[in-house]
Amino acid sequence: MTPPVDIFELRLPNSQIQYFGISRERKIIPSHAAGGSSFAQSGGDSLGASRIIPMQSAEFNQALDSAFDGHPSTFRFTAFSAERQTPFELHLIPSRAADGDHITAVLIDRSDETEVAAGLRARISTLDLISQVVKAFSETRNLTDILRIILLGVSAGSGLGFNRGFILLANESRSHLWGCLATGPSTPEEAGAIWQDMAQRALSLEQILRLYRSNPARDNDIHVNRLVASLKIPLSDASNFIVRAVNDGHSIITVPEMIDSPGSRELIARFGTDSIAVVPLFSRENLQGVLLADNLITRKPICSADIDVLEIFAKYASDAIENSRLYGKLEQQVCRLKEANEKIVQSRENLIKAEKLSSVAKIALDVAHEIRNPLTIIGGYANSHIRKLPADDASFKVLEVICRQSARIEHALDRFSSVVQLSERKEGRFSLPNLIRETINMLCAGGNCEYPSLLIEPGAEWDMVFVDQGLFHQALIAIVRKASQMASDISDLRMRLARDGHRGIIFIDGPDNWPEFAEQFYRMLRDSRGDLKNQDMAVALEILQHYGGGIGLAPDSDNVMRVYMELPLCREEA
Amino acid sequence: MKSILIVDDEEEIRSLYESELGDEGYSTHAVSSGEEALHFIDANPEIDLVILDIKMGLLDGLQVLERLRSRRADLPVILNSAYSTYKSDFKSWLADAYLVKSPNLSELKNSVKELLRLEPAGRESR
Repeated sequence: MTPPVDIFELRLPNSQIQYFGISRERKIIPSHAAGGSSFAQSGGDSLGASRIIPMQSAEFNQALDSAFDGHPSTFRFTAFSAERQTPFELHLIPSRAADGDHITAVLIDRSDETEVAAGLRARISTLDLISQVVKAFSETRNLTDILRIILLGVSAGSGLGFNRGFILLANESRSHLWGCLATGPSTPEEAGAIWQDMAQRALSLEQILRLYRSNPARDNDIHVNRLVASLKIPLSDASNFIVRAVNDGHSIITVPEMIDSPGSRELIARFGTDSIAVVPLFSRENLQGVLLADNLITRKPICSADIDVLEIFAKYASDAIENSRLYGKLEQQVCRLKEANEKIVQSRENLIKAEKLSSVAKIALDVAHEIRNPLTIIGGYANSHIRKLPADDASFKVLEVICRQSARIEHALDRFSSVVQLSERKEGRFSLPNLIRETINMLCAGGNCEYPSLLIEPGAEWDMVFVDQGLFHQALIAIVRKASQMASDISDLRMRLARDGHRGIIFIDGPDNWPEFAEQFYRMLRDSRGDLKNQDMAVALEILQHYGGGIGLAPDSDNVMRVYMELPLCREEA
Repeated sequence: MKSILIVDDEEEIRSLYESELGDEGYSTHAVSSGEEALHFIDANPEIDLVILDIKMGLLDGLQVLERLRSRRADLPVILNSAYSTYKSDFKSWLADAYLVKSPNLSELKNSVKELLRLEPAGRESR
């Protein structure tokens, strides 16, 4: 009868398999003796089955008894030698032979499968790391935290296993890459200390991250961070290997042939290794930066599989960086909106307060004015009579008291009025030429006086300014009136409106036979502050400056100095 | 003798000013409204100066001032009001002086004296 082990031989002809018999006395019976023909083909007892099967173990004996009882069983064990540990699987199959004094055993060397499993475990570990990293990304919007997570993922013991990691971020205008953050040791001694520490503590990525957060200024990363902080790479420098990787949109592992420019050579010298993994960080086709990783300490070669994993990792990292940047911008906008909203609320509150106050103040002012009329009458008559009485007159002292008290009330009214005086403004957009014409008409109301000449230059006819109409009139009346007093006749004045970019300029020119007019007039305007005689000028200047304008002295096209007033024009008209 | 027109809707103010300015040697006339003032000036071109209240009946002092300027641009006008707020109204700038009413009439008298002393062409404003 053909033993069933032939099935294994057919299915796995090249695998490390032996089959043989085992007697009830626990003796190995070669295959041919057990009735098979293929045992020799697979190498006989080449693995030394009798030596490696732990026949004394309870598990083995239990499995063997079970097989002799007619139940197939499997027994797994590991054989130890000086060099290695080898996993085996022993299948015990009940014999179909008539005597039934041995069973068929199939011994399989599972070393290959263990290596595959180790590979799988590594993959699972990588996936687990990526999962941890993605989870960590989702829990923060802080860019520094995100960069730290990326670097830990790249370099920490439970991470991708690179010795060092560096992140360079692209600036807003995408003109440069700036070194931002790095992690990793700079010397084997430092590495030994860190890795031993990490191994002893067996920290997860999350735990390491927490450690960094609690102590961001870790001494270990000082050198690499100094190095990365010194990096500023113009993205226009196509000779740089990092820029080339960015421009091509592909990751690279640097090799000496790539280091073909002085800039690249200098960079490599600073890194201390010519084998660097360069992974561009793109999110939705937007360049975020570059991730660099190397094995400066262990000198372990970087392979394409490392790059594959780094790229997967970089994809999540890029999205996290972009999200963080967008979130930062959003936060700024929210902050600005919040501030604007607070200002609106504050303005509204102020307006309500002002309206309330202005109502109260208006009533109070009306009352004050109502008091002033009778006060003028009482005090005025008292003052009038007291001057006509001799000091010894019986009424003199009484009138004196009335005069004194009237003066006291008047003083109080003056103070009160100055505090609550209302200044109602009617601001808006007005035509600058019209404002000037109105002012001239007011100055020369009724046409009984001469007008100053006015020239509106082409292009300035439709200029608009944002002012209080009344205040503008007040300012220009004061200035023109003062100019006309200096010129002795208003008709000697010439006014000209021109446009200079976003500003409306009103030139005021004096009599032809007075070349120094402009300079004297300007000095008078300029020095009006603090000069009681020229308070009107000071107010006029304040009004102009309040609306972003002013006065000046400049040579006109004919090189003659002229005084000018200027006001900013409304944007859409400028 | 210089002739002054007093325009005020308060009778006691008119009396007081007439009495005080009369004592100063001026010829005084008084009316109680803006309309009356304009009629009076039209009828009496010899008036040398006007003391003009602002807050009055239908035609207020600033409107009267505007019309006066079109009739007699050279006629000195002193705006005299219980309100100081009209100072910020650019129309009040057409006056030669703006005085807030006061029991002490010396400032008013000084302004009158000053304005009447000056020839119209060289008159200082305000």
